[in-house]
Amino acid sequence: MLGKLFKYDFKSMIRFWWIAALAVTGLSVVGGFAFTAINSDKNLPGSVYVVLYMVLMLIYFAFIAFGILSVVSIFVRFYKNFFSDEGYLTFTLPVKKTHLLNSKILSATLLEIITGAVIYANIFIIICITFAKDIFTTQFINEFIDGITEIFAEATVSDIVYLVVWFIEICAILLLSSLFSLLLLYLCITLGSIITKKARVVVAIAIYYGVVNVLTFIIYILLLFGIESAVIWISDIPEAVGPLILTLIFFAIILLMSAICMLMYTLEYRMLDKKLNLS
Amino acid sequence: MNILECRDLNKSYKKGTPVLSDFNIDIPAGRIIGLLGPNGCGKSTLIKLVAGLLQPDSGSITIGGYPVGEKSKALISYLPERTYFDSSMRVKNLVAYFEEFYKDFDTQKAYTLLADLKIDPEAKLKTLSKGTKEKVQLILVMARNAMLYLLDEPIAGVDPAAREYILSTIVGNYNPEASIIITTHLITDIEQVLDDFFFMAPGGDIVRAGNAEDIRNGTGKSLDELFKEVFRC
Repeated sequence: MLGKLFKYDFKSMIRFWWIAALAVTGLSVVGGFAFTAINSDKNLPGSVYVVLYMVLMLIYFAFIAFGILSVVSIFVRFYKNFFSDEGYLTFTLPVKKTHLLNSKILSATLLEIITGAVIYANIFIIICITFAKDIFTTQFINEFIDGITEIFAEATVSDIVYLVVWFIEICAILLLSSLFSLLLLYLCITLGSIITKKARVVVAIAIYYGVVNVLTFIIYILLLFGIESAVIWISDIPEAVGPLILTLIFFAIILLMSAICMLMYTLEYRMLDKKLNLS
Repeated sequence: MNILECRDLNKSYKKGTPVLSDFNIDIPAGRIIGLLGPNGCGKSTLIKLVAGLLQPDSGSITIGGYPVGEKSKALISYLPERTYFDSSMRVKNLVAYFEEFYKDFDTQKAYTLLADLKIDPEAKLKTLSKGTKEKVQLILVMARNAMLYLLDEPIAGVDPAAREYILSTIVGNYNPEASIIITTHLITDIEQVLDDFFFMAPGGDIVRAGNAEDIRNGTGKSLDELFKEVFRC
C-alpha cells in the first residue's frame, strides 16, 4: 500500500512543479546567454545592459520562487490530504497510519532532492553557456583531467577513504537536515489542525515561524559563546588525527540529527494516531 | 453475529459536554438500519468514530471483530456528509483509485452505475455540479462489497428525484450479508427501506429502537410520526 500512496502523493506534488522546473530551465538558458553578452567585449548600448541585468535578477527570483513552490506543494498536499475534506477519504483507506505518514515523507523528500538537483543543474547550464568558449576546448578538458589525476596520484589510500566517508557523511547530514525541516513543517501543520478548527493554516504557519525563530536564536547564542572555544579546540588538535576528529564530528552530528528526527516522527505519528479528530 | 459493537463509548468535543456518554449499540449483519435523531444528537459523531475519523475518549468499538484500524476500514464503506475528493481528478481516476485501495471494489459495477446516470468517466470533478459529485461518491461507496456501509446523511441537500435514485442505488447494490447504517432526519424518505431503527436523543441516548415493520404494525404509526411524538419540542 505504501507504493500506491506514494504514487498518488508524488503525482499530486509535482502537478505544477514540473511546469515550473521547465520554466526555470528555459530561463537558465536565457540567463546563460545574458551572462555571455555581459562578459563579451562588445560595447552594447546601456539600455541592453539594463535589460540583461533585469533578466539575471528575474532568474535569481525564479530560483527562489521554484524552491518556495516545492515547499508549498509539500505543505498543500499534506494539509489537504490529511486535514481538509480529503482527509475523510485518506483516513478511511484500509492502510496503516505509518504508511500514510511515510508516503508523505518519502514523496516530499524525493521532491526536495529533485528540486535541489534541478537548481544545481540549472546553475551548471548557466556556467556551461557563459564559459562555453573556455570550457569546451580540448586544452581545458585535458587540463581538467590532468588536475584530477594529479590530485588522486598524490593522495594516499587513507585520504581517499576519508574523502569518500566525508562525502557520505555530508550527504547524510543534508538528507537529515531536509528531513528535519519536513518533519517540523508536518508537526506544525498537525499541531495547528489539532489545537484549532478555524484558521488552521495561519496557526500552523505561526507555529512554524515561532519554532524557526527560537531555533535560530538558540543557534546564534551557541555560536556567539561557543565559536571562540571551538576555534581554540580545533587549533589544538594534532594534524595527524585531524581527519579522524572531523569524521567523528560529522558522525556525532548524524547521530544527534537522527535522534531528533526520530523523536519528531514519533510525535507526529502519535498526534495523528491519538489526537486526530476530523469534525 | 454482530457486525458492529460499541461498548461504553464516550466522546466529547468540549469538556463537560459529552456528545456520546457510555454509549452501547450492537448492529447485526444483514440489516438496513436507520440511526435517527435531531441535529446534534451524536449520529455523525458515532459514524465518524466507527470510520476512524474521530478518537473516542474511552470505550471500545469493534467491526467484524476488529478494533478500529486497517482491518476494520477494509470492511467499511463510508459515505460522509461532504464530498471528499481531490477536485483535480477525473471520475475515471477516482474509480482507479478505489480499485487500487479496496480489494472488494467492483469496477464494472461502478462504470455501469456511472453510465446509468450518464456521468462521463472522463469528466473532471471540478466541472461537475455538487449533486453530481455526491452521486459519484455514492456510486463509488456502493460499488464496494463491504460488510458495513456507513451512510451519513446520504439524501440531505439533494432533490426528490435524486433521493429516489440514491435510495434505489443503496438498496439495489449492497451485499445482502452486509449491514447499512443510514443517518438522517429526513425519515419519510428513507422509511420504506429500513429494517430496523434507533432513535438517538442529544447526549447519545437511544430512546427507542426496534424493527420498523413491527412498530408500524403495532402502533399504526409511521416512523416519521413516531419520531415527531418522541422528539416533540
